Amino acid sequence: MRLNKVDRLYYAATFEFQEDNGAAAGSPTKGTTRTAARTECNWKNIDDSTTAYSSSPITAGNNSYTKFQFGKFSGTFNQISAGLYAHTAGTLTNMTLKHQKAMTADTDNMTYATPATAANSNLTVDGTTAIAIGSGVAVWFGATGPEATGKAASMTTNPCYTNWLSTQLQTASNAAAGDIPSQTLTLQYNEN
Amino acid sequence: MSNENKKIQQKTIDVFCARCQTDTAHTGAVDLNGELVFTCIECGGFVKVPAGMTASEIKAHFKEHKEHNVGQVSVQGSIDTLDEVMGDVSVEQEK
Repeated sequence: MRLNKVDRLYYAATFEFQEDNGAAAGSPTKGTTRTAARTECNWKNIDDSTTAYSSSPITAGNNSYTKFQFGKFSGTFNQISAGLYAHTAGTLTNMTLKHQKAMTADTDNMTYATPATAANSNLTVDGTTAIAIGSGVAVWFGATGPEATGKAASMTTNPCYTNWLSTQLQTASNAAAGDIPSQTLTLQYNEN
Repeated sequence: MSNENKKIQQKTIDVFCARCQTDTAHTGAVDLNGELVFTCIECGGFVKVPAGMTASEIKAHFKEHKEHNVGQVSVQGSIDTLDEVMGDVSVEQEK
């Protein structure tokens, strides 16, 4: 008797954060520049993904440029779902971290606007305090890019993208000079 | 010079504080950028509003702010709860 060998091969989706910068362009709008494989979200006084944060610090009392980041899924997967986003570790003193609200409808996604340092009133979630990821904001997924309409709580399209995961660091006039401690922003999702 | 105690009264407005997770009194000020800064007198957290918003727009913004921030479960809150629960329990470990 011969036993047939059955291999069950499991593949995982490939994930990376990406970031848009520059003037708003296109319809729906997106940044002029799109940078792949982002590993940090340094809030700074310049709208790009290349300048060292130490070269463009935020002066106390001012705000960072709004960061327009998002997640991209490719590789092998059937479905991406159950997205949550939150500031999950790190303390911030004399400053407020604002980010994108929860997705409950396709229209909840932000519209990309040329990043600026004015307090961004479209960022309505106060993410200053590190919270449990379970109480983070809902993230939806869609084809083409973060700017595209048609986002849903689960998505089978490959590649697929999250909605905008936008953030802005707003400082008070008494914010201390120097680097802030390292912060962790978490995107949690299910894949199958 | 008078020895009278001077009372300084500052106007406040009740705004939802994401960090306190309740409505708290906030002071108001205009910063160097002309942005309005509402600071929680309980925790020092603040909500910034861009220059140019009208009073009614700001009130609507505060309403939206509360809707989008209520229910956050802070990591520190969980740690405090754990400490509170574990503080009353002693466990003897066998050597």
